[in-house]
Amino acid sequence: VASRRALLTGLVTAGVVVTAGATRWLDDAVRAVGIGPRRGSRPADVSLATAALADQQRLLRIAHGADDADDAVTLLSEQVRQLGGEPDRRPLQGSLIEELRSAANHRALDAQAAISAELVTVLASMSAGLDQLVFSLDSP
Amino acid sequence: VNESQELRWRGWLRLELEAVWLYPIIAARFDDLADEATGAYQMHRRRRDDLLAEFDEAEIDPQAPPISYDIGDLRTAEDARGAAVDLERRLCAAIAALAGVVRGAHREQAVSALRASALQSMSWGSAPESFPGLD
Repeated sequence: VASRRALLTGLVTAGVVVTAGATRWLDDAVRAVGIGPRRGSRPADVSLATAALADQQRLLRIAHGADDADDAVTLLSEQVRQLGGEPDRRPLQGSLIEELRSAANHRALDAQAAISAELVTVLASMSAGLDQLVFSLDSP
Repeated sequence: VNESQELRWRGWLRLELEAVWLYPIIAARFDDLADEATGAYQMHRRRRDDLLAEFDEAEIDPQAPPISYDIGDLRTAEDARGAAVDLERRLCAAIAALAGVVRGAHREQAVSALRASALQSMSWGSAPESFPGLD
């Protein structure tokens, strides 16, 4: 089974992980390889990861603004951290399930477009996790 | 299917073969789970056939499935659900490992299958995970 931490280290090494807030929670081993875009980074992957992180942050804010969405907040916070972000706790109004459904499809398309194997794997898995969250929120 | 990807394709196929063995057993033993298991069997049979076609196209011999698998006693419906969740989660891991190393239609196939197995595991009682297939 692929390790999230190993994938994160790969993303950091490739300069894909978005830097905002990442230094607060990256552990020493991951931080040691350095963070942020660098020579050799693939600009398309950096743009993709940045856009995905922004969308995931927006989802997380909507979850914070929704009733009885603690599980969604936890799951979405983990996904934000995997992309190198600091989870945004400011609530935002929105239709959580519809937004999650849409984001699941977007992350799958992002996985299609990504270049680095680590980013493909992370985005594909994120998409599947969002599908699971929709399933759990939709089930009686 | 190239040589460097072959191991991961084989890992996925091995689990699809296990699925088309497991789900008919669940359907036969537990009436309450028969419809769900039959649906899962049909999905995995399609996937197995697709994978075998990939192996055939790449002129790679697929491994023969074992005669049976160790799934424990499977005495109760809870046992059956647990076996199904375990299998779908292992499928997620195998498919996630493949998704990163293939491109184009093969990647689309892998991402779609990963999402489907993640949902299958939920329908059998799994809890949502932030990253299905990763630990």
